[in-house]
Amino acid sequence: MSIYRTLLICDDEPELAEEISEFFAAGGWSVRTCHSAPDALMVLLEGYHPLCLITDLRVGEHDGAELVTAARLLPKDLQPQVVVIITGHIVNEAEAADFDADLLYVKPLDPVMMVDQIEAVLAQAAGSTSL
Amino acid sequence: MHVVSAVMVLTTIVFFVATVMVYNSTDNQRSMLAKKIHNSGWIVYQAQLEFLKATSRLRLTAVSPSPGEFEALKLRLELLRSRLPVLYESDESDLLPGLAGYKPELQIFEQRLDGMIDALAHPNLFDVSGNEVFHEWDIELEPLGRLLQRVLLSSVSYNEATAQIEAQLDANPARIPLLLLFASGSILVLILLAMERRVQMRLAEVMAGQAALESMEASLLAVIQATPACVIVFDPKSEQVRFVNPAALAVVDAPLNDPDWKRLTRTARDIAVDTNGNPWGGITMTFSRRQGDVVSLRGNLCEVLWHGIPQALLVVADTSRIRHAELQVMQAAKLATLGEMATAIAHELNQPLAVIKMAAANAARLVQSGAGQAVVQAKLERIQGQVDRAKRITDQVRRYARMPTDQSSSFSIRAALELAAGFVAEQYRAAGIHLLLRFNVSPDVMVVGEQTMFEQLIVNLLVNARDACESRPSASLGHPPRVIVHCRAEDDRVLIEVDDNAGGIAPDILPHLFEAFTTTKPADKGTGLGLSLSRTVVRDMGGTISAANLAEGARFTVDLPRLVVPAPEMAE
Repeated sequence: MSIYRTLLICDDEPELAEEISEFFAAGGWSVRTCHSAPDALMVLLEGYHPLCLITDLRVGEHDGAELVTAARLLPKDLQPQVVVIITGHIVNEAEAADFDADLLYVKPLDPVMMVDQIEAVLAQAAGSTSL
Repeated sequence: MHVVSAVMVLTTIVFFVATVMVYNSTDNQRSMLAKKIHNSGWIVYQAQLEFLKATSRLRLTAVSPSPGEFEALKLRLELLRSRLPVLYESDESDLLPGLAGYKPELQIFEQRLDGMIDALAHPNLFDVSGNEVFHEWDIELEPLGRLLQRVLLSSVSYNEATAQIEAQLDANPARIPLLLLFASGSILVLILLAMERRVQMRLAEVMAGQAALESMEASLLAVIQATPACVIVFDPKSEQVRFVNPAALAVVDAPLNDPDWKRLTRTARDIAVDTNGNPWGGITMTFSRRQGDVVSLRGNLCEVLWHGIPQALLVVADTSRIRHAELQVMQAAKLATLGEMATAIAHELNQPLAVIKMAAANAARLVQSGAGQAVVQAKLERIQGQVDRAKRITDQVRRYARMPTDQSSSFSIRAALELAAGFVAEQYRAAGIHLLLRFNVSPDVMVVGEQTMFEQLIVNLLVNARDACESRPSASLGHPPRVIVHCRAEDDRVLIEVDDNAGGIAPDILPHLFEAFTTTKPADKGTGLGLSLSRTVVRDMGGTISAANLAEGARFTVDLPRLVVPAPEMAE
């Protein structure tokens, strides 16, 4: 694995963010955590360009989708390769595209499955790049 | 009518007094007149008698003149002289007709008698022929004798005529007094007849009124006996029950001396005091029957005069069925609200579940990697905390879904408002609506009611406000949707206001807002019973609920009586 895997987590539930962060860190990821969308946006604008962005759909009073949109507006090479939305609301996973996200999970989520699917997306992205 | 009677009585009195006065006056006049007439005859007779005595003495002196005789004659002539003026100067003489006409003639004889008396004052002037003088005097006085005779005869004839008139008067009593007496008597009779008539009419009215009253009392009693409401009359001091109707007997099902009656009336009074601040007014209560079941009663406690004695009247309807139906409807409304909130509740529950899932995954990973016990223990504690969090959510749902009861108790208004607001907070957060709680009451401000139902009332208002914000008109979209819950205590009241900025309520709906089946929501979202039930809840708590439009939206105001707890007595 030559890619340095970086992750930005944005969730207003500190304990959940901490657990997700710990899980990914144990898998070799470098993780930064924010508890609000403006904070996460600030991190992106300050030059931290994660490989993966995981955000809650509603982060406090803000919309996580806005954070996704802002990430998508970054230069192509600086954009996260995988954008994941997690939500406590009952939504169809097929709606992920509506939020311009690669993956969408409804809480409580299965972390193993989530990591596998993120890895799959990254691998797919790497394959398409090499092609 | 009273004025006419008074005038008639007054007239009768006047007539009667006038009759008495006229009668007395006439009688006095007659008496005085008779006396005067008698006296007038008497003075004429006296004068005539004196004339005879004087002429007799004159003739006697003429036969045997002597100084003694002269003196006696002089005395006689003086007496005669004194009688003559009386004939025309006295009051009695005025009564005799024609006497005044004799005055000049009598005065001539008076002068002559004066001369004779003067002559007799000097008897030495008489000589032997003195008897001739006396004889001449006798002749001179003869016309006086005839004059007095005529006067006497005239007096006698006048007296006879007067006697005849008196006799006629005696035979024919005075007509005017009689007429007056008759008039006053007639008026008196009329008055008596009128009064009797009036008394009879009054008596008839009283009798009719009494009969109507008795009929009404009988009808009222029949109504009271037949009415399905419980009617109980009791002494507020001794609590002795005086009267109950069959409906009340059906509820208590015990003889009147049974303690259950006192328990019922005492409970009613206590609730009236709690609700109204005094032992009278509207009440909503429950009563545990000896059979074990509980009946809901709603009605009024008031003062009444029962057979003239101040008593307490308790009129309550057995609303158990209605109450049960209300509770069922309220429960259905609650469950409907709960259904609407299911998504939000699921989201809320998913938060701790998500933490649990992740913490469990990390714990498993740590165990597999042989991490220390302390690290794993920390994960388990986190899981425990999140389970507690989930339990609080399910407890809240369970509390909300609980079937409301009919048992009132005191509770903190602030705590109840916080619970209700907490229940919808996630919905508001999900809908992007600001929910602001501005409570200006301390947690010890209490009200009386069924807390679950009160919370349901507040949840209803907040859900309505949320729905209004979500469907608010485009004109109000310039500012973020928000709902503010105010709560403050004012004297013995507690005021709760729920304000939104969703544009307000349509004016044509506003007057009917609290009527059943009034709704502005789509058929799949509102039952139209929420505000109607809210009004029932507030009314049961002795309060009011109202709605009004503000500049930006609507305001619902709940006005509740505050439970005033007597301050504990200070220890010495």
